[in-house]
Amino acid sequence: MISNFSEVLEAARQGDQGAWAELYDAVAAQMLGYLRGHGAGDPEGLLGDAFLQLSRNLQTFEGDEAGFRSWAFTVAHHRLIDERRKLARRPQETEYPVTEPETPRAPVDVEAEAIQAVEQSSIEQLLNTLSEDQRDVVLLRVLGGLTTGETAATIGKSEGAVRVLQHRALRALKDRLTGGDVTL
Amino acid sequence: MGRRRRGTGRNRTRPHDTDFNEDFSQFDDVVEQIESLAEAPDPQVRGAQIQATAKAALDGAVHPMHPTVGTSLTTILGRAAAALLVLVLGVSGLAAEAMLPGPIQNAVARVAEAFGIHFPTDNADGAGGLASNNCEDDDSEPERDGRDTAHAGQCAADDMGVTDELEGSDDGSNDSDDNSGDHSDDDDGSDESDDDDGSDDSDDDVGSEDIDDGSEDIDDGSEDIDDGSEDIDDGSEDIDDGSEDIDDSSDDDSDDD
Repeated sequence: MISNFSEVLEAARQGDQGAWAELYDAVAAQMLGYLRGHGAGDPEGLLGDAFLQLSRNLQTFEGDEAGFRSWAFTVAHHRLIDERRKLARRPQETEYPVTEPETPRAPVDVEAEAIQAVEQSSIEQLLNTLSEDQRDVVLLRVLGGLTTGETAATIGKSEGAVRVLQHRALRALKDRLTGGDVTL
Repeated sequence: MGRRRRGTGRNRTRPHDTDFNEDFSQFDDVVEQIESLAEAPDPQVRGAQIQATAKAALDGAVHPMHPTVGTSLTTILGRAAAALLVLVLGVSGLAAEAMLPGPIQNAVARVAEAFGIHFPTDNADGAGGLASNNCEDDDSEPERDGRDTAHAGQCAADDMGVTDELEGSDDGSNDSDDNSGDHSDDDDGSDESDDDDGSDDSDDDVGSEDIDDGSEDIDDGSEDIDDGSEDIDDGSEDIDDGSEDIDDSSDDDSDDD
């Protein structure tokens, strides 16, 4: 939560790096989760594209922090659609991994990393069982914290449709969790 | 052979039976799993993206021009539109200077006239003058095209040197005179259009004496009609056949005024 959002916004318009760091930290993690939840090939690259788009159009933005969050997720959603269209047009390419000598890394908690990786792959696998619209609604509502109306505006559906999609998606996810289709 | 009717079962779940405004409280475990996707980007990525974003915002603040203006010319459509605009402006400029070949000059002038812009036309003499000022061109065009007759009358009036009052009253009658002259020619289906003699027509229209001359010309061509018109002309000496009754009234009114 940004305390003085209007001042931060004005500073960000002038290119203040600190202001942009505040805006970035307010929404970047959730946006990255949204892109990951959709199985984006390069979620961090899309996140960067989305923020560049935000910086270009920030001069015309008017609203509070909730409005900025909704706008940011809308831009991320559009970048995701763009990426899918590009992938649909291009032929599939297979990349062969190039073995490079590993650079020494800082010591990390290997166990925690492994658990997190398993959890992420499991939830992504779980989300893949949903339809595209259901996934959109659940991720925007849960991760983005968008209201039903904001979600409806982002994905171009009515609020009633969003409520139906949300209910069915959550019910399906719960059934699969309790039914043991996906081990978490 | 009972075909089972769908949707009529007693236990069928109806959408309106469900509370869609429910919160996520009963799906805590699901929500928790989804929220685990939200993870802060790598610190290096974060720093690079913040820096790039701030720089882009600064560039936008320093150069506030809308980006589509600059990028429009990079697209094929934008370039084609720009080339078309340059072509149109170039052709218009050449047409204004009367530097185009005759047929092209005429075509451009006709198109421009539709928008109320007068360009020089290449007439039979090959002389290019502004159409709005060249009355020699106008003498031929109204007869051929049946349009711009008022302008022809105005030019003829300029030639005659009539006063403003006469011009005002004659303008209305000139139009009908031109039309009646043309119609009589058409009815004759003969070569009596030669009697009209281009500039003579416009000259006839303006002065009252010349109008009588014009009616005489028409009389030469179609005698039957001329007989009738002569009878009318006896009543009102000034004016011509058919529509000339209206002309009488307009002329009378203007004279009264």
